[in-house]
Amino acid sequence: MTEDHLQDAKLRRFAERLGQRAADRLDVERTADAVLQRLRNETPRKRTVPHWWSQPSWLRVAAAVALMTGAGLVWRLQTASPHAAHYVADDLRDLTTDQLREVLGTLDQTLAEPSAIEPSEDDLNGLTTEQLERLLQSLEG
Amino acid sequence: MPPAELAARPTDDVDLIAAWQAGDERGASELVARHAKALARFLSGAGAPEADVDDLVQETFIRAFRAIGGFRGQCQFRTWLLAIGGNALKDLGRRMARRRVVPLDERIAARDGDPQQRAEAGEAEERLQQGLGRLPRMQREVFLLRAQQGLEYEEIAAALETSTGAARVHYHHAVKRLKEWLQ
Repeated sequence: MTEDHLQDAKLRRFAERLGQRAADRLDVERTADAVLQRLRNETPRKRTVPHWWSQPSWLRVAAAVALMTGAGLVWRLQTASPHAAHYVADDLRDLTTDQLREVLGTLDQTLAEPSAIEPSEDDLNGLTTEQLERLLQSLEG
Repeated sequence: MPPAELAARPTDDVDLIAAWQAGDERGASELVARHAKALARFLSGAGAPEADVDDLVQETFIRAFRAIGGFRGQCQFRTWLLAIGGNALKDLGRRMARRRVVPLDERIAARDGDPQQRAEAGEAEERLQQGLGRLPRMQREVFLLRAQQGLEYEEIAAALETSTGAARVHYHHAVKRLKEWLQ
């Protein structure tokens, strides 16, 4: 056996003896009684005083509030688009036929994509005011 | 497990835990009886002041029984208990530091107990105790679980939530430093 192994064995022997006095002095029966007493004392306290926010009635209220808030948000999102379209349609009614043609001509220039269908100036001239309004509205989606 | 059966034959820790969870207090009493002395040795070896060992043993069992639902048999009950004891000891050290009492490490170095008892403990043991007090917590606990409690690395790693390789490294560093300290 090498010197290193001897030292390891000695170290283990010392370690095994560590705390032996504390263990000898410990009264196991008294410790068990004290532990059980503390556990008995704390169990009823935990049952009788739950957190106010964890009671079922408060959880139900919180769930109802969350549901109503969510429903309100969905309703607002759904009703937002028709309002915007309504205002644009109102604006179109104030325009003359020539002004509508001008707006459509501007749109022709901004729609730069080659695949987009570009109504020519000649086509627009043949349309009535109502047809031009419908075309503008359809372009807005 | 029916109470009569619990009393009739030696049972595994797992059976005692189940009995306690089912409301049989004898399950808890038996677990304390089986492991309290090993826990006291571990805590004392890890640097618990002698005057605080009894309280720490109680505190450790209380914490263990409160958290027993989280024990999944990843290691032996005793190993799990010792790891909880290590945490309780660390918390005691923090409380002492906040109260500006003597820091835990110094208390470890200056052991309690009367001079006669300390003389009887032996100089080498005393020096080992001092050396342990100078180690980082992880090295100290791995060393004690291995050298004092005789546990396997796999068991130690599961209890301290580390890898087996890391537990080995901590142990070897601890041994190296303790040997240097003892020389």
